[in-house]
Amino acid sequence: MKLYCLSGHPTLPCNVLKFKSTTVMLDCGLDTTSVLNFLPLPLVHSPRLSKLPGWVSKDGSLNLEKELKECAGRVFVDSQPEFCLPERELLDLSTIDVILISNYHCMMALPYITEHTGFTGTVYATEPTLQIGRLLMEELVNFMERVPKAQSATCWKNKEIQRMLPGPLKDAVDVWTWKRCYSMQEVNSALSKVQLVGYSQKVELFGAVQVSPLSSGYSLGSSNWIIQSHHEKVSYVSGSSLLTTHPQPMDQSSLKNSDVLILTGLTQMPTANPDGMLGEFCSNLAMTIRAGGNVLVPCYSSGVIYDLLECLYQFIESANLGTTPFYFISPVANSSLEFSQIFAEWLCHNKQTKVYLPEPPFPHAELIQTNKLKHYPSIHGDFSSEFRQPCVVFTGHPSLRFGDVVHFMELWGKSSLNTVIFTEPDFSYLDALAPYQPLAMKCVYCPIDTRLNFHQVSKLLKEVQPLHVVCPEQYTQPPLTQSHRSDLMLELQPPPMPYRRCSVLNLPFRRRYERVYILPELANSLVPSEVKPGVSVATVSAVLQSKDNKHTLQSVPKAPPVAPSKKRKRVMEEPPMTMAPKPLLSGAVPLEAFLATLQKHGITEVKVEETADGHILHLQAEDTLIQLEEDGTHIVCDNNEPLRATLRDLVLRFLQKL
Amino acid sequence: MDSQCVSILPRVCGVLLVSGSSLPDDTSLEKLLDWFTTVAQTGPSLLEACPCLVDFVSKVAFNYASGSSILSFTLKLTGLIGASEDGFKVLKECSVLKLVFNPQHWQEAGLWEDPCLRIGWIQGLKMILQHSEALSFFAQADLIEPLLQLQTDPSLFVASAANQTLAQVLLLCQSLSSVGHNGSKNRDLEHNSEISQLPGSQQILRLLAMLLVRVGPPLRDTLLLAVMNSLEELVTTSCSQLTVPLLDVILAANSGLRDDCVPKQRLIRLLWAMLNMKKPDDVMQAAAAVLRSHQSDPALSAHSARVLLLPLDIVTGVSLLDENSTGEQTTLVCFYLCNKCLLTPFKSMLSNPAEGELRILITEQLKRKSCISMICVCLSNIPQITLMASDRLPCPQRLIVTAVLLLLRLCCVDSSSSSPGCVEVVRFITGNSKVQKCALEALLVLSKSPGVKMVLVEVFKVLTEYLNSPSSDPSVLQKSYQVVIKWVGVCPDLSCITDQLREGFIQAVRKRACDTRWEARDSTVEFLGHLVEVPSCWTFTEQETEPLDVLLGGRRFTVPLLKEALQDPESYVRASSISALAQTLAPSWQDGTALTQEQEDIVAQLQEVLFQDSEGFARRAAVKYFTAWFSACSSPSSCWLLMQSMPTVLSQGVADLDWEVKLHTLELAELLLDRAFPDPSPSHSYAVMSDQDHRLPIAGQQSDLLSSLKNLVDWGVVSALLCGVVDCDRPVALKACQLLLKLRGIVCPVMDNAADTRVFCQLAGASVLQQVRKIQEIGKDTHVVSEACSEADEEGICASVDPECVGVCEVLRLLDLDEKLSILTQSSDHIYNSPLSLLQDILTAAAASSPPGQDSRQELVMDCY
Repeated sequence: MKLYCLSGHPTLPCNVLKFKSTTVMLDCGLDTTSVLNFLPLPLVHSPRLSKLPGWVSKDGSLNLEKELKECAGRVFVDSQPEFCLPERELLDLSTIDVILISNYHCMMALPYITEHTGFTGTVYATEPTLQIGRLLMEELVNFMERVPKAQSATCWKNKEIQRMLPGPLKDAVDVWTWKRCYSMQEVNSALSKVQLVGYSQKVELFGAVQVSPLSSGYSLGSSNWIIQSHHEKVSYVSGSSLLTTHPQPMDQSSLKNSDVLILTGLTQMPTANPDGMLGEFCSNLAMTIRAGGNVLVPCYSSGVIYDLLECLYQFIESANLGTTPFYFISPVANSSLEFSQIFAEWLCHNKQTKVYLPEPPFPHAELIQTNKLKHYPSIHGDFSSEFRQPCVVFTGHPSLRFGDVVHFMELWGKSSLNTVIFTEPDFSYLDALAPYQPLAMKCVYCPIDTRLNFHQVSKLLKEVQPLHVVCPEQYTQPPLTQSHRSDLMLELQPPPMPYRRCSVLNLPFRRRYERVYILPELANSLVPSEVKPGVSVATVSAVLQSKDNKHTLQSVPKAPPVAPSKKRKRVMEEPPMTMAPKPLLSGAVPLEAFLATLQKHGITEVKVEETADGHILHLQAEDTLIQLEEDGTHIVCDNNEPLRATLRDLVLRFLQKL
Repeated sequence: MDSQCVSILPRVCGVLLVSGSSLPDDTSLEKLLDWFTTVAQTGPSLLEACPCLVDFVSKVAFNYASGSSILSFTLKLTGLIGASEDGFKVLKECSVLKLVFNPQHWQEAGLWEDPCLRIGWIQGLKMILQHSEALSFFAQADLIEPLLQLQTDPSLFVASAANQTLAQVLLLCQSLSSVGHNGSKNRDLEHNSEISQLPGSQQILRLLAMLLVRVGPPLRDTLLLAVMNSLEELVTTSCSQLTVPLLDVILAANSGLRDDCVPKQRLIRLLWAMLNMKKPDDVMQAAAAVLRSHQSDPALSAHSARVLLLPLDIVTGVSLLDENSTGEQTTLVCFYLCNKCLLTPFKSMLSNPAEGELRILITEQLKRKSCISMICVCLSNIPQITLMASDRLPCPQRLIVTAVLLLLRLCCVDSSSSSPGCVEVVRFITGNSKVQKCALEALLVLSKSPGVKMVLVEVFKVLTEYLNSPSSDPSVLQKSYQVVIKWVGVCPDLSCITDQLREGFIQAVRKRACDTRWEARDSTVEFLGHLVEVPSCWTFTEQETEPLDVLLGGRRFTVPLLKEALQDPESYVRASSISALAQTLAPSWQDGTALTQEQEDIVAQLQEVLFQDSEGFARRAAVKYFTAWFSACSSPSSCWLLMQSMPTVLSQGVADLDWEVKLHTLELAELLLDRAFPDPSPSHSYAVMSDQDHRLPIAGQQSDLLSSLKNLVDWGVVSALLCGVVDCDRPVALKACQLLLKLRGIVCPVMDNAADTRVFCQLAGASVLQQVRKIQEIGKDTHVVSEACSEADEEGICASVDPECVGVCEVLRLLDLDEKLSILTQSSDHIYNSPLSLLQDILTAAAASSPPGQDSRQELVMDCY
């Protein structure tokens, strides 16, 4: 069993598991942090961005003025942003049989894997994962295609040149593999390969293994996966949460008794308690609004935003923010808000019960009804006429490199009354803000990450007790900034197996058993005999057939009657005798009783010698040896066949025959 | 004593004898006993008052059939009777005493098993042991043995009562030292010295501690000598459960002894032994106890301080304990300790080998979750440590402050600071609000330490960090605010607070004012109020300014925040913001500065609160705001807004649903009353004024009084009082009644003669008017109102159509205020709590339980369902 690790990002994993005869890809997350190296894509012409000076190396030897721009001491690529894809050279992607998706954030690289690679397999995901994942992809494509950039910068990627670049650009890895965003056509094609599954539904893969998604409690439709055969069980734990937010709670018990547990998607903010952050978010928001400023919340169009809106719903009244408008701007804003209300079966119990009442599960419906929350596909159109300040705007993309958020950053960045509140933990907020410097706007960082923290995960692992744990190497040491916090890492016995991008791990367990079926007629012909109470054995003569990873014992086919085509005199008239198998013996020869029997039969001179495995009886008169061992009995007797037969029969008296 | 009670007491006794089980409720016997106790204490003698009791007692003593509760009651009653020497004689004469207090008697009857009876027996005995007669009876009857046995009774109550009775015996022995009862005393002591099993030991240690505090020198010395060996033995066996009681005993014994006496030396040695026990928890407890008891032995308390500071030293790596070794060395030691290396080479580096061992043990414990309690013990004893003389302290207080600050940093979730100290402990204390609170509490106390001004900036930074941290618990925020107030209060020089620090602090406070948790908002608002009251200080420009200005930029910042808080959904926050506004504005009221528009807005908002707020807290605070304003204001009459608001506040406040709002309103009315009729000023008070002098310028007085009274009526004080006096809440009515009496005392003597000067006042609600009328009817004058009105008509002063007008003086005269006062001063349940009612209840219950009445009682029960 092998694990190929195609992504080094602990929360955007992409691993391939070779298990029995199947090749299973576990998630295909897209590392979008690479876009932080690019200049933002403004929706309307930005004089500031267009006037940024081009970059020339200090000695003037290197001139990349057209490709690289300088802003507040940092260098950015002036081109359409590109993403860092999962590793595609480590193994042949066309050999992948299935892709299991655990949540909508972890499927964004799907088109890169399923299109143009020869992939012919199936993708399994739950319905909300597919639908919301589609929304996020659509949004991403929309963000990129709305502001097309003809130029594509490639010179800077030259290894020689990249080495001479400053700052983070110099250290960016695998820049040659970075790719521009896929097209809507590719998204559709990729998503057409998705087959929907429900929690605990068992899907057979070629009869060899069974995969089954379990609720992971992190987002709508998010799942962990069990991959098991009859005798082995691998659990794949991706983004999971034990907090009571909107999704169905996490199913922990089904993870028990795993041979291997692959652990990814822990919280990226181990020291930030989501409740505290939510409180921080609300108080900063209220503080800004009261002072007459605007609040910008760069966020994804699905996920934490539902919880943010729910929290604000309760907070608005108490903080006297009733009149402040809340805007949600995204090409998929409407669908996101509406989808969330219809996935009742994927919601937590509390919200599920609301479905049976005349009220929607999420309170944002009421916010929309009362006109407190308004949503728009973009800043163009209706929004521009209805826009009123001070206000709160939720919009993407959280990297601040593309999407409507770029416009608001340009618009509000100059006033210290305004605040930008980061809630998504995926991007470093300082890096995100770098191309907007100098910035007067206040910045607040309240990352809300509801995924498991180290305390919760160690409790979980104690409960489910996997034999081996595999995890990204980041989880095996404390975070760099808090090296004294030994509690912010996984401490397990045996220690977890760490992986990094491009690792290939041999998972430390061997397959020892295989299930074999036996046909009824063959089973009928068996004659079991009891060897000890409750245990019976029988001998089987059969043909083993293996097909589709299923093994079946069938009756031995009767030899076909010889076709009487040619009348030729046969040398042997009768078919060869099928020898009846000799009975199998079992049991042990008790020494005392055996000696007594020997005596009865006139053999009196016996010298017993004790050996490591049993005894050697030396029949001195007959000059014969009998070796009694645990797994065999030998009679060494020269040229005295009758004696040997007698002795054999005496031995057999003590043994059971099958 | 009430003759009626005396007359029915024999019947009650009869009832108790016959049907003890049918009491109205299970507390009635206790109440009866309480009543007897009061009678015995106040009257001449219980038997004189109730002669039938002896008969009752002797009858019960021979009647086993009575219920255990009656028996127990009787035993206690016997004790009560026998407590006086006369009573004792009577009881002895009718030979009840021996019978009642003979345990054998009850054992034979099979009643001794009942703990109820045993406790009755003990308490009876305890009550009787007041005089020498009783003591000789106690000795002759050989009651010491059963009493000692009861000390280890399975019932905790019995055991404890036995303990107390034993103490009583000893104390009585001591006071009657002439009486020779050494036998019993010695036996008691012998018993004490046989401290054996754990539960028994705990009881005996408690008894010992109790005795040692109360007994005088000769007995105490004997006692100490008798138990010293056992104590030493107990200390050496060192059982954790006994640590606290043992310490109590040793410290109690130690407190009264002179330094040079022998037992004292042995006790000190014992304390040393306790400070060297095996378990770190026990040692810490012992050290804390030593410090709290203000030991006179300097070495002992110095060592205790070292022990208590050890965890802090280990956790933070700040070398608090070793003045000789450098910080680096200590750090090195800590490092090795934490890494489980062989420690022997480093032992020598520590000044005290025992301390080195303790350090190892504590370090081990700090790696476990139980480290929290240990660190908390350490922190909560820092106040005691700071009280010590500086030469006895193991390190300068400044270092302790540094260590506490470092600890606070380690506890803060957001801080990335690490310490050179114990690393493992960080995972337990980070974000632990218990440790945070204890450390903040310690920091609060440490503000008084000498020479800590230097670290003010550090303190301020850490506190801002806490106030800013999203994971701070509201209680931690509250504590942080308290510490800010304290430190700012003791540091007269705030010049070190830079603009950057101030900006960070302001941001934090502003954010907390918008917190989602009301507790955090509440503490913030309270803090804003308290900050105003911190005395003024010096800034870097050497100008005297208020800390509020230095930290937050003054009222410009706080008043808008507080006004926002007036709209808070949580009533506590609204109430706190009102109080804080009062505190904030008080200085401007005192100065008499002109009102701003902002203040006018606030008054309008407060009136709204008074009218509309659904919660009492906010309304109470609103009334108090006006009280504060009125009392702070140098000349209220010149503040038009204040005086204009008075009628509204008073009329609304006194009609409130909440009795506290009403009471606060009446307090405001009292202020107005005092202002209208000021007491003779101090300069005149010593000038002897004859009655005549006082009355001489009667015409002038009348006109003054008249105008003051008119003012009072205009402000709405009189209507508020009249409204309050008929209020259904007793404290409100009482207060109003007292104030009306005061008003009557001032007004009526002067105004009586002047029939032509009438002041009328309007009554607010119709119901109030009705009640006043009712009172007037009781006062047998039904014509006052109509008369007043008709007279008013004639004079044209009062609108004839207004039937709600009453003449102030008439009402004051006609209301029977004195009678009302006497009724109101009695507690509201005085009728139901009277002994007569108790006795009657017992009789009625008995009657109800007898066959003919049985049905009705059951019906009653049914009704309840």
